[in-house]
Amino acid sequence: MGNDADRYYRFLDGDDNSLREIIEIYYNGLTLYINSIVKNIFETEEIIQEIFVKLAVRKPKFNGKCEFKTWLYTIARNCALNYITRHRSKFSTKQIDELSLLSDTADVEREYLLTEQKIELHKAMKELKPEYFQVLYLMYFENFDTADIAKIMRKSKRQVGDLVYRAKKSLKSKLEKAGFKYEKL
Amino acid sequence: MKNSKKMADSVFKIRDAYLEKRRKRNSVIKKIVYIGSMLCIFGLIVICINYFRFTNMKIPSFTKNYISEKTENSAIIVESEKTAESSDTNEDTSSMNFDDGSDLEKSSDVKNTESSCLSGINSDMEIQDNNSENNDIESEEINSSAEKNPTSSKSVSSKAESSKSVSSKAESSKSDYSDEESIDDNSNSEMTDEEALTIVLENTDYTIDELRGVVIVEEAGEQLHNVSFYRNGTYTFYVRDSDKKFLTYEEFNDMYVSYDNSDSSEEDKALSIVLENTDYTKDELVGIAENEADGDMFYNIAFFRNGTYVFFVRQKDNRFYTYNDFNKAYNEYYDGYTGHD
Repeated sequence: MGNDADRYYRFLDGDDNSLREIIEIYYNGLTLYINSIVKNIFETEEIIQEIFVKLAVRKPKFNGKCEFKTWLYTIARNCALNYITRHRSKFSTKQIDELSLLSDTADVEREYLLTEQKIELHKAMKELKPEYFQVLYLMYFENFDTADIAKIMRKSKRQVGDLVYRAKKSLKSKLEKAGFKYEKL
Repeated sequence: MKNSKKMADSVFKIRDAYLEKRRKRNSVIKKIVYIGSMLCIFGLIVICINYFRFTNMKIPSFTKNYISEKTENSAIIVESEKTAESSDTNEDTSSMNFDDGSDLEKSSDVKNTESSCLSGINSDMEIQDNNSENNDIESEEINSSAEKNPTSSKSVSSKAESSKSVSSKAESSKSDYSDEESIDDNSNSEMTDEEALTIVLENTDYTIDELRGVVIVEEAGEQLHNVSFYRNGTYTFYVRDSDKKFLTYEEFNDMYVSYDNSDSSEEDKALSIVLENTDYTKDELVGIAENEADGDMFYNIAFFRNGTYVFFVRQKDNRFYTYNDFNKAYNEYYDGYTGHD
């Protein structure tokens, strides 16, 4: 993680290749995370482009109080929520679009979620509430700890802990219904 | 769905386009600011030039206004001549004179303005024109106007009161001038305004632009026929028409007063007696000089000063009296008159 921060500092000093590396590292992870919020892969792509354009043009300062990944995911989440606010009318017809976008989303998932277990788990997580999905994704797929998740989601640690507990419980019941044994989690 | 490389390319492409757009926008803003500032500076320069031009310009051109008015006057004269020629009967002529009389009344109403003075000149010139046409009608017109303006002779008698009265006299003479002047115009050789202006320019160090204002023919009886110029709002120079003599304001005023009092030699004599018997100067003895006749014994010239009658001169023997002496002699004359009924 420290390397990513250094890459960003190099980009601030004028090295564009550093930003390219950052994009390559975080593109897929951010795609899945943003997609869990907006539920549309094209809009997700648009949001991610907006995030990196902001970084490239405005060059916001990274103060190092948290990890670079946490900082980047916080920016991503804020951008996604702003995007939803700006295009509120578009999200009323979101359900129709979701069906047509399943194939593209599945490709990204296959690319990023390498193991079969993770893929199946991710499919089960999709049926959860968005907040449950986000907190579980950040904790178990992106390996954030509770404090980082609290920063990203702008919640307290206790709220995140409760959220993780309820998300796990909900996921467990869904996996049991689908024939999985929850102990494997 | 883009992969990470395509995403990175598109991000940098968008960034470059945005930076280029911002650079162009900044250059446009800089150009606008530059042009705007240059226009502001240019505007300020123009305003300053105009301001200094107006402040440095001494007095607006007198000659331009005067010449334009003169051309208008000549146009009026030509018109009046044409109408006079076209008129065959005396009725037409009399009606034209009536119009001139109305013009004179209008000019007497409006004072202290250039337009009124020039209209006075217009009417004068028209009257002169009509005089040359028909002297009989002119004399009738003079009589009628003299009846209309009985205050003119009074204003002459009150001339010695103060300098204000002199100036008011001069102003009133603009309107009262009218018909009496037309007689003089026939007898005297006319001096044009240009000649008068030339004489003033020769005798002063003023330029033609400094001698701003209207040219007024100011009548002062038969002796004076003056052309006056005013500068800075006060009458300054005069030119006597009879001998084309240049007069300052003081010279004109003295001459005017002496001329005005020329008929009243008795008053002058009394004034000289008062001056001999007191330490007052002539200027201090302001006020009217009146003949105060009382019986056969007294025929006095009274002067008042500070609002009270002070000195008396008995005409019979040119004896000088103070106020108290006069009262005493008055009471003695009436055989013990004490002032009580």
